[in-house]
Amino acid sequence: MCLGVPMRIIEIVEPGKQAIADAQGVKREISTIFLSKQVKEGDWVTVHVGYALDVIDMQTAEEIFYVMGLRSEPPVRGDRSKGDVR
Amino acid sequence: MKGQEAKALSKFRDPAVTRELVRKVNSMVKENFQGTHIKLMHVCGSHEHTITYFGLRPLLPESLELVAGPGCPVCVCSTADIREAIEIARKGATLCTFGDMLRDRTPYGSLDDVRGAGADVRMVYSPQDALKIARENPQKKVVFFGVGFETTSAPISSLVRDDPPENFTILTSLKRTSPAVEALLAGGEIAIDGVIAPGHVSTIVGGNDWKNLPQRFKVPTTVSGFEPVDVLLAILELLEQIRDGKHELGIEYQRLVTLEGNVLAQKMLAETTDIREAYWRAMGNVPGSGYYLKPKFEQYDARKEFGVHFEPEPKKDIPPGCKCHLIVTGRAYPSDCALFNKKACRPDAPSGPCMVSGEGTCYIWYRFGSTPELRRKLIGNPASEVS
Repeated sequence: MCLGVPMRIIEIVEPGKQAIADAQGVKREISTIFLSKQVKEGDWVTVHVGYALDVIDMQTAEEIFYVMGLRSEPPVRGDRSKGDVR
Repeated sequence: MKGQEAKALSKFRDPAVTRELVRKVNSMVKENFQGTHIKLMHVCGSHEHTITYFGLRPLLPESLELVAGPGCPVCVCSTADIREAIEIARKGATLCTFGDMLRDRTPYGSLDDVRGAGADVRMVYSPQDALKIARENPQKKVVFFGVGFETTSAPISSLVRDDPPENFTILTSLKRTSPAVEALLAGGEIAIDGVIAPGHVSTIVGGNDWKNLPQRFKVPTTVSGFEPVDVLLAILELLEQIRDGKHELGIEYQRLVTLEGNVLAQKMLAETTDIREAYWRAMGNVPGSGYYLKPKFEQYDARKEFGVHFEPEPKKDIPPGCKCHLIVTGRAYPSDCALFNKKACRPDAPSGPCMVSGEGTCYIWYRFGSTPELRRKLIGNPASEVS
Protein backbone atom coordinates (compact mmCIF):
# COMPACT_ATOMS: atom_id res chain seq x y z
CA MET A 1 0.00 0.00 0.00
CA CYS A 2 3.01 2.25 0.28
CA LEU A 3 4.01 1.32 -3.23
CA GLY A 4 4.52 4.47 -5.25
CA VAL A 5 4.02 4.11 -8.97
CA PRO A 6 5.74 6.66 -11.21
CA MET A 7 3.12 7.86 -13.69
CA ARG A 8 3.17 10.47 -16.44
CA ILE A 9 0.36 13.03 -16.63
CA ILE A 10 -1.34 12.75 -20.01
CA GLU A 11 -4.46 14.86 -19.47
CA ILE A 12 -5.66 17.43 -16.96
CA VAL A 13 -9.30 16.72 -16.06
CA GLU A 14 -9.77 19.46 -13.47
CA PRO A 15 -6.78 21.67 -12.61
CA GLY A 16 -5.61 21.13 -9.03
CA LYS A 17 -7.99 18.20 -8.56
CA GLN A 18 -8.04 15.40 -11.13
CA ALA A 19 -5.86 14.23 -14.02
CA ILE A 20 -5.40 11.18 -16.20
CA ALA A 21 -2.02 9.52 -15.80
CA ASP A 22 -0.24 6.69 -17.57
CA ALA A 23 2.07 3.98 -16.23
CA GLN A 24 3.46 1.78 -18.99
CA GLY A 25 0.21 1.92 -20.92
CA VAL A 26 -2.12 1.63 -17.92
CA LYS A 27 -4.19 4.80 -17.73
CA ARG A 28 -6.35 5.90 -14.83
CA GLU A 29 -7.80 9.00 -13.29
CA ILE A 30 -5.82 10.24 -10.32
CA SER A 31 -6.30 12.94 -7.71
CA THR A 32 -3.83 15.83 -7.75
CA ILE A 33 -5.11 17.61 -4.61
CA PHE A 34 -1.85 17.04 -2.73
CA LEU A 35 0.41 18.66 -5.32
CA SER A 36 1.54 22.17 -4.38
CA LYS A 37 2.00 23.21 -8.01
CA GLN A 38 -0.21 22.82 -11.03
CA VAL A 39 1.02 19.85 -13.00
CA LYS A 40 0.95 19.80 -16.75
CA GLU A 41 0.93 17.10 -19.38
CA GLY A 42 4.27 15.31 -19.47
CA ASP A 43 5.09 15.78 -15.75
CA TRP A 44 6.09 12.65 -13.83
CA VAL A 45 4.39 12.06 -10.49
CA THR A 46 4.48 9.35 -7.85
CA VAL A 47 1.02 7.88 -7.36
CA HIS A 48 -0.25 6.06 -4.26
CA VAL A 49 -3.72 4.51 -4.15
CA GLY A 50 -4.88 6.87 -6.89
CA TYR A 51 -3.38 10.07 -5.44
CA ALA A 52 -0.36 11.90 -6.84
CA LEU A 53 1.81 12.67 -3.83
CA ASP A 54 4.71 14.50 -5.43
CA VAL A 55 6.27 15.50 -8.70
CA ILE A 56 9.42 13.53 -9.41
CA ASP A 57 12.33 15.95 -9.39
CA MET A 58 14.33 14.82 -12.41
CA GLN A 59 16.80 17.67 -11.86
CA THR A 60 17.87 16.17 -8.52
CA ALA A 61 18.02 12.72 -10.08
CA GLU A 62 20.37 14.09 -12.73
CA GLU A 63 22.51 15.75 -10.03
CA ILE A 64 22.87 12.42 -8.25
CA PHE A 65 23.99 10.86 -11.52
CA TYR A 66 26.59 13.62 -11.84
CA VAL A 67 27.89 12.98 -8.32
CA MET A 68 28.04 9.26 -9.12
CA GLY A 69 30.02 9.93 -12.28
CA LEU A 70 27.19 8.87 -14.58
CA ARG A 71 26.90 12.31 -16.09
CA SER A 72 29.90 14.33 -17.28
CA GLU A 73 28.44 17.84 -16.86
CA PRO A 74 26.59 19.11 -13.78
CA PRO A 75 22.96 19.81 -14.67
CA VAL A 76 21.75 23.44 -14.62
CA ARG A 77 19.82 23.94 -11.42
CA GLY A 78 16.20 25.12 -11.64
CA ASP A 79 14.36 26.65 -8.71
CA ARG A 80 12.08 24.00 -7.25
CA SER A 81 10.35 26.48 -4.93
CA LYS A 82 9.04 28.22 -8.05
CA GLY A 83 7.70 24.95 -9.36
CA ASP A 84 10.56 24.44 -11.80
CA VAL A 85 11.27 20.74 -11.46
CA ARG A 86 13.18 20.28 -14.66
CA MET B 1 11.03 13.81 -23.03
CA LYS B 2 9.30 10.60 -21.97
CA GLY B 3 12.14 8.44 -23.25
CA GLN B 4 14.80 10.62 -21.64
CA GLU B 5 13.16 10.51 -18.22
CA ALA B 6 12.48 6.80 -18.29
CA LYS B 7 16.14 6.34 -19.23
CA ALA B 8 17.24 8.63 -16.39
CA LEU B 9 15.24 6.63 -13.84
CA SER B 10 16.56 3.33 -15.21
CA LYS B 11 20.06 4.39 -14.14
CA PHE B 12 18.94 3.57 -10.60
CA ARG B 13 18.95 -0.11 -11.52
CA ASP B 14 21.91 -0.03 -13.87
CA PRO B 15 23.93 -3.28 -13.46
CA ALA B 16 27.34 -1.57 -13.75
CA VAL B 17 26.48 1.07 -11.13
CA THR B 18 24.95 -1.58 -8.88
CA ARG B 19 28.09 -3.74 -9.14
CA GLU B 20 30.31 -0.75 -8.35
CA LEU B 21 28.22 0.13 -5.28
CA VAL B 22 28.23 -3.51 -4.12
CA ARG B 23 32.02 -3.43 -4.42
CA LYS B 24 32.19 -0.20 -2.42
CA VAL B 25 29.98 -1.58 0.38
CA ASN B 26 32.07 -4.76 0.56
CA SER B 27 35.38 -2.88 0.72
CA MET B 28 33.96 -0.40 3.22
CA VAL B 29 33.03 -3.29 5.54
CA LYS B 30 36.33 -5.07 4.95
CA GLU B 31 38.41 -1.96 5.67
CA ASN B 32 36.44 -0.53 8.58
CA PHE B 33 34.29 -3.15 10.24
CA GLN B 34 36.42 -6.31 10.55
CA GLY B 35 34.95 -8.52 13.25
CA THR B 36 32.01 -6.17 13.78
CA HIS B 37 28.42 -7.15 13.16
CA ILE B 38 26.25 -4.37 11.72
CA LYS B 39 22.47 -4.49 11.67
CA LEU B 40 20.52 -2.08 9.47
CA MET B 41 16.73 -2.02 9.62
CA HIS B 42 14.40 -0.88 6.87
CA VAL B 43 10.75 -0.14 7.58
CA CYS B 44 8.99 -0.72 4.29
CA GLY B 45 7.71 -3.75 2.42
CA SER B 46 8.85 -2.11 -0.80
CA HIS B 47 12.43 -1.95 0.53
CA GLU B 48 12.26 -5.65 1.40
CA HIS B 49 11.01 -6.23 -2.14
CA THR B 50 13.96 -4.32 -3.63
CA ILE B 51 16.51 -6.06 -1.39
CA THR B 52 15.11 -9.53 -2.05
CA TYR B 53 13.96 -9.21 -5.66
CA PHE B 54 17.33 -7.83 -6.76
CA GLY B 55 19.17 -10.33 -4.55
CA LEU B 56 21.17 -7.70 -2.64
CA ARG B 57 21.62 -9.62 0.65
CA PRO B 58 23.85 -12.39 -0.75
CA LEU B 59 25.96 -9.76 -2.54
CA LEU B 60 26.81 -8.04 0.73
CA PRO B 61 29.09 -9.23 3.55
CA GLU B 62 27.46 -11.64 5.98
CA SER B 63 28.45 -9.36 8.85
CA LEU B 64 26.19 -6.68 7.37
CA GLU B 65 22.64 -7.64 8.22
CA LEU B 66 19.58 -6.09 6.58
CA VAL B 67 16.46 -6.74 8.64
CA ALA B 68 12.84 -5.80 8.00
CA GLY B 69 11.03 -3.70 10.58
CA PRO B 70 7.31 -3.02 10.94
CA GLY B 71 6.85 -1.77 7.38
CA CYS B 72 3.93 -3.87 6.15
CA PRO B 73 0.56 -2.29 7.00
CA VAL B 74 -1.35 -5.52 6.43
CA CYS B 75 0.99 -7.36 8.80
CA VAL B 76 0.49 -4.90 11.66
CA CYS B 77 -3.28 -4.46 11.22
CA SER B 78 -4.84 -5.91 14.37
CA THR B 79 -7.15 -8.87 14.57
CA ALA B 80 -9.67 -6.55 16.26
CA ASP B 81 -9.75 -4.15 13.27
CA ILE B 82 -10.23 -7.00 10.78
CA ARG B 83 -12.89 -8.53 13.03
CA GLU B 84 -14.73 -5.19 12.96
CA ALA B 85 -14.59 -5.16 9.15
CA ILE B 86 -15.91 -8.74 9.05
CA GLU B 87 -18.74 -7.81 11.41
CA ILE B 88 -19.70 -4.75 9.34
CA ALA B 89 -19.75 -6.86 6.15
CA ARG B 90 -21.92 -9.42 7.94
CA LYS B 91 -24.36 -6.67 8.85
CA GLY B 92 -25.07 -6.16 5.16
CA ALA B 93 -22.80 -3.23 4.24
CA THR B 94 -20.81 -3.07 1.02
CA LEU B 95 -17.29 -3.27 2.41
CA CYS B 96 -14.53 -1.97 0.13
CA THR B 97 -10.84 -2.37 0.90
CA PHE B 98 -7.40 -3.03 -0.59
CA GLY B 99 -6.91 -6.52 -2.00
CA ASP B 100 -4.47 -7.82 0.60
CA MET B 101 -6.92 -7.17 3.41
CA LEU B 102 -9.32 -9.79 2.06
CA ARG B 103 -6.90 -12.62 2.82
CA ASP B 104 -5.55 -11.37 6.16
CA ARG B 105 -6.65 -14.16 8.49
CA THR B 106 -7.83 -14.01 12.09
CA PRO B 107 -9.26 -16.65 14.41
CA TYR B 108 -12.61 -15.07 13.43
CA GLY B 109 -12.03 -15.77 9.74
CA SER B 110 -11.15 -13.38 6.94
CA LEU B 111 -13.00 -10.93 4.71
CA ASP B 112 -12.59 -13.51 1.93
CA ASP B 113 -14.52 -16.00 4.09
CA VAL B 114 -17.48 -13.66 4.60
CA ARG B 115 -17.43 -12.79 0.91
CA GLY B 116 -17.63 -16.50 0.13
CA ALA B 117 -20.60 -16.69 2.49
CA GLY B 118 -22.41 -14.03 0.48
CA ALA B 119 -21.33 -10.70 1.99
CA ASP B 120 -20.67 -7.79 -0.38
CA VAL B 121 -16.91 -7.36 0.04
CA ARG B 122 -15.14 -5.57 -2.78
CA MET B 123 -11.51 -5.04 -3.63
CA VAL B 124 -10.60 -1.50 -4.72
CA TYR B 125 -7.36 0.15 -5.81
CA SER B 126 -8.14 3.63 -4.53
CA PRO B 127 -10.28 5.10 -1.73
CA GLN B 128 -11.83 7.19 -4.53
CA ASP B 129 -13.16 3.96 -6.07
CA ALA B 130 -15.05 3.24 -2.83
CA LEU B 131 -16.51 6.74 -2.83
CA LYS B 132 -17.65 6.23 -6.42
CA ILE B 133 -19.37 2.97 -5.47
CA ALA B 134 -21.20 4.83 -2.66
CA ARG B 135 -22.34 7.59 -5.01
CA GLU B 136 -23.56 5.11 -7.61
CA ASN B 137 -25.41 2.98 -5.04
CA PRO B 138 -27.26 5.37 -2.74
CA GLN B 139 -29.48 2.54 -1.49
CA LYS B 140 -26.46 0.69 -0.04
CA LYS B 141 -24.36 1.46 3.00
CA VAL B 142 -20.81 1.57 1.66
CA VAL B 143 -17.81 1.31 4.01
CA PHE B 144 -14.17 1.81 3.10
CA PHE B 145 -11.87 -0.25 5.34
CA GLY B 146 -8.86 2.07 5.22
CA VAL B 147 -5.65 0.37 6.27
CA GLY B 148 -2.22 1.84 5.84
CA PHE B 149 0.56 4.16 6.83
CA GLU B 150 0.96 7.87 6.09
CA THR B 151 0.91 7.39 2.32
CA THR B 152 -2.61 6.01 2.44
CA SER B 153 -3.73 7.94 5.53
CA ALA B 154 -3.65 11.32 3.77
CA PRO B 155 -5.77 10.16 0.78
CA ILE B 156 -8.21 8.30 3.05
CA SER B 157 -8.63 11.20 5.47
CA SER B 158 -9.24 13.53 2.51
CA LEU B 159 -12.41 11.58 1.65
CA VAL B 160 -14.32 13.35 4.44
CA ARG B 161 -13.56 16.65 2.68
CA ASP B 162 -14.72 15.26 -0.68
CA ASP B 163 -18.44 15.79 -0.01
CA PRO B 164 -19.13 12.10 0.64
CA PRO B 165 -22.74 10.91 0.41
CA GLU B 166 -24.71 9.95 3.55
CA ASN B 167 -24.36 6.22 2.80
CA PHE B 168 -20.54 6.34 3.00
CA THR B 169 -18.41 5.71 6.11
CA ILE B 170 -14.80 4.77 6.81
CA LEU B 171 -13.38 2.07 9.10
CA THR B 172 -9.93 3.44 9.86
CA SER B 173 -6.79 1.50 10.75
CA LEU B 174 -4.22 4.19 9.94
CA LYS B 175 -0.76 4.29 11.41
CA ARG B 176 2.39 6.42 11.64
CA THR B 177 5.63 4.54 11.07
CA SER B 178 8.32 6.55 12.87
CA PRO B 179 6.72 6.11 16.35
CA ALA B 180 6.79 2.33 15.81
CA VAL B 181 10.54 2.33 15.13
CA GLU B 182 11.07 4.60 18.12
CA ALA B 183 9.04 2.17 20.26
CA LEU B 184 11.20 -0.73 19.05
CA LEU B 185 14.37 1.13 19.96
CA ALA B 186 12.96 2.32 23.30
CA GLY B 187 11.87 -1.23 24.11
CA GLY B 188 15.47 -2.40 23.83
CA GLU B 189 14.50 -5.77 22.36
CA ILE B 190 16.56 -5.17 19.26
CA ALA B 191 19.79 -3.25 18.72
CA ILE B 192 19.97 -1.43 15.40
CA ASP B 193 23.04 0.32 14.01
CA GLY B 194 21.20 2.26 11.31
CA VAL B 195 17.75 2.78 9.84
CA ILE B 196 16.83 2.88 6.16
CA ALA B 197 13.74 5.07 6.39
CA PRO B 198 10.83 4.56 3.98
CA GLY B 199 10.94 6.87 0.97
CA HIS B 200 7.28 7.13 0.11
CA VAL B 201 6.08 7.56 3.70
CA SER B 202 8.66 10.35 3.91
CA THR B 203 7.22 12.00 0.80
CA ILE B 204 4.27 12.80 3.07
CA VAL B 205 5.82 13.31 6.51
CA GLY B 206 9.18 14.67 5.34
CA GLY B 207 12.63 13.59 6.43
CA ASN B 208 12.11 15.61 9.62
CA ASP B 209 9.64 13.02 10.94
CA TRP B 210 12.63 10.67 11.44
CA LYS B 211 14.90 13.10 13.29
CA ASN B 212 14.21 11.50 16.69
CA LEU B 213 16.12 8.41 15.60
CA PRO B 214 19.50 10.17 15.14
CA GLN B 215 18.88 12.85 17.76
CA ARG B 216 17.28 10.95 20.65
CA PHE B 217 18.29 7.36 19.92
CA LYS B 218 21.67 8.17 18.31
CA VAL B 219 20.90 5.88 15.37
CA PRO B 220 22.05 7.01 11.90
CA THR B 221 19.05 7.25 9.58
CA THR B 222 18.75 7.71 5.84
CA VAL B 223 15.57 8.05 3.79
CA SER B 224 15.95 5.82 0.76
CA GLY B 225 14.28 5.26 -2.59
CA PHE B 226 13.30 1.89 -3.98
CA GLU B 227 15.68 1.04 -6.77
CA PRO B 228 18.71 -1.16 -5.97
CA VAL B 229 21.05 1.80 -6.47
CA ASP B 230 18.96 3.83 -3.99
CA VAL B 231 19.18 1.16 -1.30
CA LEU B 232 22.93 0.60 -1.84
CA LEU B 233 23.59 4.36 -1.67
CA ALA B 234 21.62 4.52 1.60
CA ILE B 235 23.60 1.58 3.01
CA LEU B 236 26.88 3.28 2.05
CA GLU B 237 25.78 6.54 3.66
CA LEU B 238 24.81 4.74 6.87
CA LEU B 239 28.12 2.81 6.94
CA GLU B 240 30.03 6.07 6.53
CA GLN B 241 28.15 7.56 9.48
CA ILE B 242 28.76 4.47 11.63
CA ARG B 243 32.46 4.48 10.68
CA ASP B 244 32.76 8.16 11.58
CA GLY B 245 30.79 7.82 14.82
CA LYS B 246 28.06 10.12 13.53
CA HIS B 247 24.30 9.88 13.93
CA GLU B 248 22.59 12.13 11.46
CA LEU B 249 19.57 12.25 9.22
CA GLY B 250 20.27 11.78 5.51
CA ILE B 251 17.98 11.81 2.50
CA GLU B 252 19.16 9.65 -0.36
CA TYR B 253 15.78 9.88 -2.12
CA GLN B 254 16.12 13.57 -2.91
CA ARG B 255 14.32 13.34 -6.23
CA LEU B 256 11.12 12.93 -4.23
CA VAL B 257 11.66 13.59 -0.53
CA THR B 258 12.31 16.89 1.23
CA LEU B 259 12.89 17.59 4.92
CA GLU B 260 9.48 19.24 5.29
CA GLY B 261 7.49 16.69 3.24
CA ASN B 262 4.15 17.23 1.51
CA VAL B 263 2.70 20.18 3.38
CA LEU B 264 -0.74 19.92 1.73
CA ALA B 265 -1.09 16.28 2.75
CA GLN B 266 0.08 17.08 6.30
CA LYS B 267 -2.46 19.91 6.47
CA MET B 268 -5.21 17.56 5.34
CA LEU B 269 -4.23 15.01 8.02
CA ALA B 270 -4.10 17.73 10.71
CA GLU B 271 -7.52 19.06 9.73
CA THR B 272 -9.28 15.71 9.58
CA THR B 273 -7.55 13.46 12.11
CA ASP B 274 -6.27 13.34 15.68
CA ILE B 275 -3.11 11.45 16.60
CA ARG B 276 -3.38 8.98 19.46
CA GLU B 277 -1.99 5.65 20.63
CA ALA B 278 -2.64 2.77 18.23
CA TYR B 279 -2.48 -0.98 18.61
CA TRP B 280 -0.06 -2.78 16.28
CA ARG B 281 -0.35 -6.49 15.63
CA ALA B 282 2.83 -8.13 16.95
CA MET B 283 3.89 -4.99 18.80
CA GLY B 284 1.04 -3.88 21.06
CA ASN B 285 0.15 -0.28 21.84
CA VAL B 286 2.45 2.36 20.37
CA PRO B 287 2.05 5.93 21.66
CA GLY B 288 1.20 8.58 19.07
CA SER B 289 1.13 6.12 16.19
CA GLY B 290 -2.51 6.23 15.06
CA TYR B 291 -4.59 8.59 12.95
CA TYR B 292 -8.27 8.79 13.97
CA LEU B 293 -11.02 10.90 12.37
CA LYS B 294 -11.74 14.02 14.42
CA PRO B 295 -15.03 13.99 16.39
CA LYS B 296 -16.51 16.58 14.00
CA PHE B 297 -16.34 13.94 11.24
CA GLU B 298 -17.93 11.19 13.34
CA GLN B 299 -20.80 10.82 10.86
CA TYR B 300 -18.23 9.13 8.60
CA ASP B 301 -16.98 6.79 11.33
CA ALA B 302 -18.07 3.24 10.42
CA ARG B 303 -17.52 2.02 14.01
CA LYS B 304 -20.14 4.48 15.23
CA GLU B 305 -22.49 3.93 12.28
CA PHE B 306 -22.58 0.16 12.85
CA GLY B 307 -22.00 0.11 16.62
CA VAL B 308 -18.97 -2.14 16.21
CA HIS B 309 -15.95 -2.15 18.50
CA PHE B 310 -13.64 -4.98 19.54
CA GLU B 311 -10.73 -4.74 21.95
CA PRO B 312 -7.32 -5.99 20.76
CA GLU B 313 -6.53 -9.59 21.70
CA PRO B 314 -2.75 -9.95 21.51
CA LYS B 315 -2.90 -13.71 22.02
CA LYS B 316 -5.06 -14.09 18.91
CA ASP B 317 -2.91 -11.92 16.64
CA ILE B 318 -0.40 -14.57 15.70
CA PRO B 319 -1.28 -18.24 15.02
CA PRO B 320 0.50 -20.98 17.05
CA GLY B 321 3.96 -21.71 15.69
CA CYS B 322 4.04 -18.58 13.50
CA LYS B 323 6.94 -16.15 13.94
CA CYS B 324 5.38 -13.11 12.28
CA HIS B 325 5.65 -11.15 15.53
CA LEU B 326 9.43 -11.63 15.43
CA ILE B 327 9.77 -11.22 11.65
CA VAL B 328 7.84 -7.93 11.58
CA THR B 329 10.09 -6.49 14.29
CA GLY B 330 13.39 -7.52 12.72
CA ARG B 331 14.13 -10.25 15.26
CA ALA B 332 13.82 -13.22 12.89
CA TYR B 333 13.99 -14.05 9.19
CA PRO B 334 11.26 -16.04 7.44
CA SER B 335 13.69 -18.95 7.14
CA ASP B 336 13.84 -19.07 10.96
CA CYS B 337 10.15 -20.03 11.08
CA ALA B 338 9.24 -23.72 11.03
CA LEU B 339 6.04 -22.96 9.10
CA PHE B 340 7.68 -20.92 6.31
CA ASN B 341 7.28 -22.45 2.86
CA LYS B 342 5.65 -25.55 4.33
CA LYS B 343 2.13 -26.68 3.57
CA ALA B 344 1.07 -24.75 6.68
CA CYS B 345 2.20 -21.38 5.29
CA ARG B 346 2.41 -20.46 1.64
CA PRO B 347 0.82 -17.53 -0.22
CA ASP B 348 -2.14 -19.66 -1.36
CA ALA B 349 -2.78 -20.71 2.25
CA PRO B 350 -0.97 -18.24 4.53
CA SER B 351 -0.69 -18.88 8.23
CA GLY B 352 0.47 -15.50 9.51
CA PRO B 353 0.04 -11.98 8.09
CA CYS B 354 3.62 -11.74 6.75
CA MET B 355 2.74 -14.39 4.13
CA VAL B 356 -0.48 -12.62 3.08
CA SER B 357 0.59 -9.31 1.68
CA GLY B 358 2.85 -8.47 -1.23
CA GLU B 359 4.59 -6.22 1.30
CA GLY B 360 5.02 -9.01 3.86
CA THR B 361 8.55 -10.30 4.34
CA CYS B 362 7.54 -13.98 4.21
CA TYR B 363 5.56 -13.49 0.99
CA ILE B 364 8.49 -11.67 -0.62
CA TRP B 365 10.99 -14.33 0.48
CA TYR B 366 8.68 -17.11 -0.74
CA ARG B 367 8.10 -15.41 -4.07
CA PHE B 368 11.70 -14.52 -4.87
CA GLY B 369 13.47 -17.27 -2.95
CA SER B 370 16.21 -15.10 -1.67
CA THR B 371 17.51 -16.75 1.45
CA PRO B 372 21.30 -16.36 1.61
CA GLU B 373 21.61 -20.16 1.81
CA LEU B 374 19.58 -20.67 -1.35
CA ARG B 375 21.52 -18.06 -3.28
CA ARG B 376 24.79 -19.62 -2.22
CA LYS B 377 23.63 -22.98 -3.54
CA LEU B 378 22.50 -21.43 -6.81
CA ILE B 379 25.24 -18.95 -7.62
CA GLY B 380 28.03 -19.56 -5.14
CA ASN B 381 29.05 -16.79 -2.80
CA PRO B 382 29.19 -13.60 -4.85
CA ALA B 383 30.11 -11.53 -1.81
CA SER B 384 33.56 -13.14 -1.77
CA GLU B 385 34.02 -12.45 -5.48
CA VAL B 386 33.37 -8.74 -5.28
CA SER B 387 35.13 -7.96 -2.02
